[in-house]
Amino acid sequence: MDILRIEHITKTYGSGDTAVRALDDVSFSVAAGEFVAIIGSSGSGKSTLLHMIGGVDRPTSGTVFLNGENVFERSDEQLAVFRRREVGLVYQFYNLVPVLDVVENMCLPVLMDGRAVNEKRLTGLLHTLGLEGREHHLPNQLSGGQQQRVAIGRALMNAPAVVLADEPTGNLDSKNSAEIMALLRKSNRELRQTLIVITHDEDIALTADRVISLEDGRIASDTRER
Amino acid sequence: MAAKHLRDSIGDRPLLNHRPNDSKGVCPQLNHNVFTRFTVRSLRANRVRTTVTIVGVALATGLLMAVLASVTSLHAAIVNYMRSIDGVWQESFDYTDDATLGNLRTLAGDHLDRLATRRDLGAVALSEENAEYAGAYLGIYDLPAESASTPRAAGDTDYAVYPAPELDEGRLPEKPGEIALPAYLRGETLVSGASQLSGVNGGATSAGEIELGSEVTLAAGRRVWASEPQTPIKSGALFQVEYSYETGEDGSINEGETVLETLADVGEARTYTVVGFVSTSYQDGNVAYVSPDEPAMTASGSAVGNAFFSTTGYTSENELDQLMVRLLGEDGSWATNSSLLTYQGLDTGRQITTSLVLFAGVLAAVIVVAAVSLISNAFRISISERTRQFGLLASLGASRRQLRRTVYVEAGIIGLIGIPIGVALGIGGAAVAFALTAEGWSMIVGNGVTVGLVLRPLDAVAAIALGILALLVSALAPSLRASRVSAVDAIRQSQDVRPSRRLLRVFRRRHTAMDDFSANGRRPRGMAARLGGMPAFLARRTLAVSAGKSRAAAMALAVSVALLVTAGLVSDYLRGTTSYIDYGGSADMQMWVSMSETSSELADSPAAVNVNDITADIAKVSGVKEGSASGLVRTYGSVHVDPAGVNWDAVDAYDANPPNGSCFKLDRNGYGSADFYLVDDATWRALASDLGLSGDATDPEHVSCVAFNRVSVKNGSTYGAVEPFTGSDGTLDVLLPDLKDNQWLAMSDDGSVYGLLERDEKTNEVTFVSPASDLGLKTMSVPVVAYTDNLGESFPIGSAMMDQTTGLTLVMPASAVFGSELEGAMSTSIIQYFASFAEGADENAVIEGIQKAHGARGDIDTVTINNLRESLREYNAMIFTVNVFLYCFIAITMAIAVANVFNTIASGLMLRTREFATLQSVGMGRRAFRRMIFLECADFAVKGLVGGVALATLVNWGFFAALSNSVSTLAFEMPWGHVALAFAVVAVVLAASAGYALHKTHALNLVEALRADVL
Repeated sequence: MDILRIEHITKTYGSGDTAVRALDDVSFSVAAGEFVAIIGSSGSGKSTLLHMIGGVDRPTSGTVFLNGENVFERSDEQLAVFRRREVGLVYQFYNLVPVLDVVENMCLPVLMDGRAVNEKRLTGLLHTLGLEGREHHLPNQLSGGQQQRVAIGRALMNAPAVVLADEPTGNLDSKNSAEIMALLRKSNRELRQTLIVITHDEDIALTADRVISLEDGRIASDTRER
Repeated sequence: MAAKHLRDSIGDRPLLNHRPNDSKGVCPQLNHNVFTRFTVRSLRANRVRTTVTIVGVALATGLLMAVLASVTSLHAAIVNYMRSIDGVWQESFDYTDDATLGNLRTLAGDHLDRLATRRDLGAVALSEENAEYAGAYLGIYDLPAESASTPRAAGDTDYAVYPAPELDEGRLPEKPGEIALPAYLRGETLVSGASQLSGVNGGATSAGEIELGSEVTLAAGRRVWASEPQTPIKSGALFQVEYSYETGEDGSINEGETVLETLADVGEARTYTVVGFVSTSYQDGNVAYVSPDEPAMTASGSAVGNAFFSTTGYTSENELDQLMVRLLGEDGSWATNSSLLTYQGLDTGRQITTSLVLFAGVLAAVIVVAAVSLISNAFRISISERTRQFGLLASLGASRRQLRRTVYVEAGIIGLIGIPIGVALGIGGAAVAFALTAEGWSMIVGNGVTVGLVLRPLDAVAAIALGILALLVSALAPSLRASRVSAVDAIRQSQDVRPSRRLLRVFRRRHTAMDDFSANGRRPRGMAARLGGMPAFLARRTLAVSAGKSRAAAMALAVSVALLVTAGLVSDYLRGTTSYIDYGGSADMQMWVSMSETSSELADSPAAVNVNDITADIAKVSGVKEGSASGLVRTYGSVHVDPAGVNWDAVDAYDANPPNGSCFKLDRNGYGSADFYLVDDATWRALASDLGLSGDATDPEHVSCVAFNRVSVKNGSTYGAVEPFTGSDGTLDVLLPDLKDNQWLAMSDDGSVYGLLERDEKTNEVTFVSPASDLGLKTMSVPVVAYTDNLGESFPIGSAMMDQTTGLTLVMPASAVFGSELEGAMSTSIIQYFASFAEGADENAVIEGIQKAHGARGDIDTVTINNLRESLREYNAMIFTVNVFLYCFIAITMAIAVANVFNTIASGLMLRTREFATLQSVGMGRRAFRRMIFLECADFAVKGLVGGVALATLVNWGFFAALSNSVSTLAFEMPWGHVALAFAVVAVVLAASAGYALHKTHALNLVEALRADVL
């Protein structure tokens, strides 16, 4: 079953002579539990695509269906709810809230929803992410790898339909990169979590179920590994 | 990341095209400028914050400039006041030889500024009869003349070296044979006869009462000390007498007088024509003035010269003293104009100059602190925002000194723009404020001295220096911070949040992950989260982490709120004091009539008996408002009222805490004293009409009275009023006692019984003879036609004054009292007349007209006319003046605080755009976001307002505590209007700041904000 359907997405920045078409009529769908890597050179539209799927940015035209629902029919307020419930975002630069500690950062989407924190899931994630003993550290007391693990924890805490990661290892050394990818892969396998990762790294792309290559805002290739 | 950045850049630009030659010629300059350009760009990029900072610097400098200029101007005004009163002379000495003046010129040289001289021609002994008013002598001086040959290098010539006598009537003498006498001699007759000096007869005579044009004959001599050496005494000086007290054997005290001086060298009597009367000056004493051409009057033809001179260029009183010693010798005596020297700063030992300097110093300190708080806040934010830029520069090899310098360059640019604007603003503002309040200031300073803005270059220099100091101090901490930013910190970009110790303690106490959350795990622990949910939790956390950052701005806000509220307090207090001036009545003029032959017998006082005629005379004067003239004869007498008609609770309330320590003058049998206000016919009719009376009561010939049923009572610290009459009884009896001279009716010492008191004529002992109830006194029944606590709009005495009555007050028509038995039962205390100005009438002409009308009558002696309207106007002008300066100061301080808060909130929020973007990307809605911001601002508001109002309450309480002893009507009361105003101002400022920041973050592109590599 397709959990995510992207239909004819176009995104144009600016207007007139300076208009830049970041995405040009992109369509594809992703099945539940799939691990998709999106690759492409700088400026090919990868990040723009990810922001469209994550409901962070609106497309110029086209639609995104998540769980059969049109994401962009929602109001800004509903879109915020969508972001906290249906997607988990992981950025290259972690983007943690500096004034909140590890646990608070991880639980942020749940708490914003006013729902109860699932204790089992929280302790399980802390264990899996290797953050035990660092529950009450502020982001600046953590290393880059640890910060990224908190960001992944935040993305997974709500058990979202899709986890979107934008170059999650782009800022880390190879050891930390491998660990982070292993974690994402694990959640994809064990929790049947749908995962879309943007990457430069061909090694990472090779571990994915499917690799979509973008060039100048268009899909250049779409290969399933198996 | 940096590497990637570099790669991207290299990809676009042909690096190899750089020619090595370029770097040699251009690079040093480029290198020098790169930090400056960097700073200028960042200032430009944050236009709003830069503007607010510049405005803050300009406001602070402007306020400093204005305060310094105001203090200088007021100081100049006080000096001018001193000059106008005493003249500009600094030292004065007596001389008999003109060579002394030549010596002065030689010794003082260029320092001598202005010199005036006059002659002390001698003193005339007055007969004992004439000495009654002002002492045994009348001194004769000629008019001071300024020496034209003195250079007048730098001195001002607005005021005389030594002021000419102030004319009361006529003119000053212009030629020999003319004289101006002290005003007290007008209407008197100078007679010869024994003087207070043994063997000396009065040397002054006049043919009849003295008036302008009269001739007086005077024989002047020289006053000298009786003991050797017989040195002269100033002719205007006090009579030199030594008093001694000896206790005799029988215990009686004998006063002894020894006259220490005598009159020598008495010349021939000469006749003078009186051309003017002058007010007695405290500097000259009891003196008559003649023209400078008047020949010497003593037998030997001697005249003592008095010299007065001012100097320039001396910096202390000591230098002046040295000059005098060199001129007159160690034993010489001279006089110093010490009050002027004090204000000129030459005599620094006095307190007034010190307190003025202190006042300016405190104000300047407050402003500098507020300014430092504002500017440093702005810098701190500016530096935080550019942490990554600094880190990048550091990673590229910028030295700490270079980084520090960028901050100082920023401060320099801001100062270069802000400080000149500030100086101009300050001067302009002070000029406008002084122009608006010139009239009020003149009244405050007095003696018609004009007060205007006085600019001293030193003040501008001080304001600029203080502005620069504030900038440097403000830039110090941020510059250190900028230089400490490391490349690593910059790349991690997280050094802005350092957990406070408090926060770390909270974290340490928790053990498991779920300790952070409430039992059901739905929300984080803590009061804020329970009440306000997630936004409140986030807001609180942010505030806890960044408490120190907002503290300075919150404090500045609190101080300005306190200032605003205190200003309200002061202006409320000032407005309250107007009631001392404003009688609240309908009248503009109050006339006090006094008689030379004072008698408390009503029938003996023509000013009382003729109250209707006099009122009619006043009404006839052109410019008096129709129907506004009224006469009021205040008398007192004894009454008996039915005890059943008295509100005894009210009397007890009065006696429990009487305003002036006395008791209510009414005993339990209903006997007591009362004030009777006897009014003219027209006033009675108007009162009757105001009170809605009818029939006989409206007829002023008919005996009846209106009881003013209101007495002030002090209840604890607040004032109130009670009604002494129940108002049920329609009559009261006026006692008609027939008493001897040594008898009178009054309350007994313990305040319980009203009765007859008698003084023993031999021992002067006073005894209580009998209660009034037992005397069987004749009485006259007077119907009370109305009981009222409001005598109406047309009654000449306003409610503000009537509120101060402390006993039974009865208003009666004068016509009914005169000629009746009541006339003998009342004693006069004050006779007053009132009138108002017709619209557009010339107030001075009206007052003059009334004076003439009174003069023409011949039965009134002295009339003092108070122009109440003028008094009120003057007082209001003074209050206005004080308020203008008060509110100008508050407004600017407020503006500084507002700029500070705006910078802190708006910039603080904008600094957190990335955090906000993150929150939004993980699903925080706009509404929740707004709530979070609102709560953070609310925290600010609460801190500022609560702190400010608390501070103001403290000040208010101190003010109240200090004044409540002296001003009994002062009540502890908060100026709620100003508190509300402070709330409104704070709300508007916070709304504007948060609104601006929200607008900025709303426009923010989430995608852009989430990219971390935006520098």
